[in-house]
Amino acid sequence: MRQILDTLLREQGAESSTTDDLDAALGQLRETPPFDLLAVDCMGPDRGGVAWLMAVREAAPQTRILVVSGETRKERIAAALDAGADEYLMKPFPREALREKLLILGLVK
Amino acid sequence: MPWDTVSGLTEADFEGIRTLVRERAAISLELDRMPLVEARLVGLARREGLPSAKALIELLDAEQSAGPVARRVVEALTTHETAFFRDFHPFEALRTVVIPDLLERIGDTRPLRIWCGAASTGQEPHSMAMLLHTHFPEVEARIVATDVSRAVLARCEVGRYSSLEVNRGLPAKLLVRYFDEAGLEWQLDSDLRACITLEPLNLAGDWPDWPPFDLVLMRHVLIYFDADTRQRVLRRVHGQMTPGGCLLLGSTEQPVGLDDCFAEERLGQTGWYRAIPAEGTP
Repeated sequence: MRQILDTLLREQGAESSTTDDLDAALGQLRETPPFDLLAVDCMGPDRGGVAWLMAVREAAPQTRILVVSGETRKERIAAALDAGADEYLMKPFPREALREKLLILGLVK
Repeated sequence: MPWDTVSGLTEADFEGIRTLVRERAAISLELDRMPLVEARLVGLARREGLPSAKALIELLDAEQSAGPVARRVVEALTTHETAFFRDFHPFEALRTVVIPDLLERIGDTRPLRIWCGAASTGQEPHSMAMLLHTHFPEVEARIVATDVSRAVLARCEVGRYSSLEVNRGLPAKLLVRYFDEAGLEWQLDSDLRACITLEPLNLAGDWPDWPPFDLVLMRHVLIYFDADTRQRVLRRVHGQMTPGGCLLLGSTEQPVGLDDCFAEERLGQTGWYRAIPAEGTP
């Protein structure tokens, strides 16, 4: 999924970096100039979930957060949004759906 | 183009289908649409429990006059891609400029009247209902949603969508606010669905006796008509609008040859067409 997202985001003209380590991602968000977008799957079992999203929101208030996840329960989507996610994309999705989320986030025209 | 179908459909079959769709829905299917037509007919045959698209054509040919098979074939070929808040920027223009302007014009004398002229499975009228409820909660509005296909209107009425469909263009905050889980699907709030009136309508056929609309969305549907039909439909749309009402078309569509009916206005990427009052109208 990381590789697919990377490819799709580059297709939209983005420069992107990837990691499978959520702690490393949080560290990078704290230390580097702001990213426009963080696309992350953090809602699955044993992932960072709500607490991790709240930490990201605090560490990188300017970064738009798009959660991409196979978790499709309404209460979990609502929890992600409450914790600071700006958008949520359920897996699986067609490539147009990612572009539409970027439109909603004001990151493409 | 070479005639080579995997379904066994012949050029004569395709010509018959073209004639049917032209006569029933005034839609011109060009030859380069053949692969799409074939795919839709194969899908319809499967849903009807028929062994092949060829069997569907045989059933169609056996109908004495245009009956239920012909209707379902036309519906299968005139259902188009849709998404919530399609293209996004037109809905921003509606929210920030068009709807506030229309509300100022009508004051609080009556409800805002909106027509979605190619409702498909409902994403557009449902997007409009959510937009109004979120940003104009005090406004009373009536939305009429029409489509040539009864099958898609039935889906629109129920307002149930798959995860794949609610993934398309719908902001997650609106999903959480206005939809409930319904098994593996998501269903739109019944109050929002209740403000939408659904009617099957062939744009090239007879229209009911409606009151005029303040806002008409006729997006991504006229491209399937030939130029004469397009102009005729748009002239009728103009006659169905309040003076100063607004028409939104698809981003590549324009009311060509109708300078006496519409004046273009723009906000960023979005253009819309203001209905010019007919002569003698106050």
